[in-house]
Amino acid sequence: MSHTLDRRSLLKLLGCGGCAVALPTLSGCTIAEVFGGGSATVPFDLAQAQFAGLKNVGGTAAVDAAGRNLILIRTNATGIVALSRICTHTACDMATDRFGTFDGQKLICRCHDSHFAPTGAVLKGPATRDLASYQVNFDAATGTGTVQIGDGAPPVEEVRPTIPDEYANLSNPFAADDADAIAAGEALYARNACGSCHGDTGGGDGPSGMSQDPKPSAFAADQSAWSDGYLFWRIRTGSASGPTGSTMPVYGTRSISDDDTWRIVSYLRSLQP
Amino acid sequence: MSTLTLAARALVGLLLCTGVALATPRMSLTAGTPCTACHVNPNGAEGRTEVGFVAMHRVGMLTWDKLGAQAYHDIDSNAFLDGMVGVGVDFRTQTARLGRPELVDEGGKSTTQVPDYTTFPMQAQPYLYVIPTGGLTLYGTWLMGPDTLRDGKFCDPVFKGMSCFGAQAMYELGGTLPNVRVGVFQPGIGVRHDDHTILTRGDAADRRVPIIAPGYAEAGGEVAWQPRQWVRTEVGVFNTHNLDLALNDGTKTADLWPVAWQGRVTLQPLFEFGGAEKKPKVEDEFGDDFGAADAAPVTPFVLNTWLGASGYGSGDFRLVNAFLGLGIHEGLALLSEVSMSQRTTQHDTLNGMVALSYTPWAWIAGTLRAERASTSTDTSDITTWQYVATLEFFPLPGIELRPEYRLVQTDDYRFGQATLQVHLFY
Repeated sequence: MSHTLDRRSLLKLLGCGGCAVALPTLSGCTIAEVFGGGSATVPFDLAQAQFAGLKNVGGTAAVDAAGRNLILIRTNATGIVALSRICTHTACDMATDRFGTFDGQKLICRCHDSHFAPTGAVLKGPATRDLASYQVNFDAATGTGTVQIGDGAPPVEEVRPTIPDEYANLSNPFAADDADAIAAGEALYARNACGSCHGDTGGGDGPSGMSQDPKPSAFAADQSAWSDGYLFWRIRTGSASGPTGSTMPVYGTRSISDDDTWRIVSYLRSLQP
Repeated sequence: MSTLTLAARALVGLLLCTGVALATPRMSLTAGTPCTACHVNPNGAEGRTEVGFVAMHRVGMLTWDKLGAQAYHDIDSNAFLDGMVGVGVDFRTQTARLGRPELVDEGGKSTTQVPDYTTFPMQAQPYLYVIPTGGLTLYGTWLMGPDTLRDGKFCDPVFKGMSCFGAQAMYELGGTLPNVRVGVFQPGIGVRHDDHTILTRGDAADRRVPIIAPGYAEAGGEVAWQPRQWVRTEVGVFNTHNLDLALNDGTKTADLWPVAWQGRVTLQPLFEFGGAEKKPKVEDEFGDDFGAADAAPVTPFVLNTWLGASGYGSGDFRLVNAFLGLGIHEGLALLSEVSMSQRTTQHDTLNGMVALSYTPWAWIAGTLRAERASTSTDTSDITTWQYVATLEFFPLPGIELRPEYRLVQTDDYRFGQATLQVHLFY
């Protein structure tokens, strides 16, 4: 019997031995390093060509700094937000000259149609992770500002929706102590399943709201920051009306009449402690 | 097997395989079997012939007969109606971290965040072929997308330029005359690898939009001529609809004609060293061959080679590929390819790869691959590297597990991860 190691046997020995050593070593480790990271305060000036798109509401500009790839979005006359523009689905670049579109309400990744609110919150998949957001200080009067990124950057302030003018001055036609309006509003609240997200007693703790980000508003709380017009607006136009990125649906006039919407507002007001 | 027969078999196989993917180019380089023996598509990949069906149906670390499923093991064809109609399917899932690492600032502290692992469908593709008469083959395939599986949407290309279907009629004129193909199929461009992330067809400046997308296909026609066994030429004319999507629906721009031209030349000499025919039989008076037992043949050392180049272009866009492959029967294969593209609006790419594969048994193979892609534009020069270690493991016939480790390095980040591909096929 020959014990000569032929070519095939030698190769098998070397190949299998190499795999046996290499694969367990390779399979366990994830390597992740972003080059050029650090902290930075990135100034911007709308007079510069790179940022000219931010002169108009809905306009955008792309910025690369300190290892981050950002998109700046002019959300209203006085506000600019800064988000990572790398889609959290498959890393498509959402600069608007690449695969991104900002339609005035949401940032859309054209690669696979993920939608993000101006807060960075995912509105529609396939992406499941929110975009990182960054603190912006913007002076509309001078058209200049800065973006803070990196260690030590202040947390991003909560973005509150700016109420459109047509809703800003509305007031509830029903008196605050109108028991009939409150009772009717409670019935409408139940009929439209508002409690599934906001909770049966307005605690913001409905079962469908548990996994939402941001969480549904709680009405059994201080509502002093909300005007009547604000509540009416949020019911009427839903999440599309502001940069909160919530999943609040639209209850148009076909769903709930103006009067019934005000009755719901009356009920919500009655929930305040 | 005579040297001539061996050479002819290997040459024909290698010639036919350089166009599209083989499940693995390594199979052709090491075994020397023609793609058309196993795949209906002349360029390999996708639907399998009866020979291909049997080849895959009987290969696995465990085979069906050993598991007691003798009747299933004995199935020897994927065709019906006396071989006139055949079917097949590929289904793949991938488990990987989709995306890239990012720096995230939370609580005043910066950290590097990587995507979570996710499992997603990668390929769901049925095939059908019909051979109505000798020399003529009709072949069709449907490449489903995520929305096909979710919402029933017929066409859902994942990449710009991907075609959700292919349909072609292939006619062999016979003898040494050319073969003709018409329909919707991928033009012969370099080597089509079984990896949709391969950088030779990619763009370092825009990895989401490869120059030639996985599943790229166009309507057109091709004439293939093989006047000698060691040389094959192809020329074709194709529509540019999907090429336009890939090049002009991003930041890249190209001024394309309505049609594209294509040409490819492949030289595939086979070199044989040493070896000897089996010793003459020594028979006794009863005719018993008692001498054959120790008359082992000396196996010749056979080196299969590929050397070829292709060109593809339209308007101001040109894509040139060159490839070289070396393979031996003991299971080693070395494949390299260089790809260069240009267009008038400066967006030049120069990509390359080299892969070393080893197949100790038919049911397991390992590959190490290095790739580089670079893109030069008016404003930037961008380079991406990718290193991949792959194990193709077939525990049972029709089932492939493909663990990989991938390391990608761009100008912005470095990202290495283990992934797993599960491939079911029939």
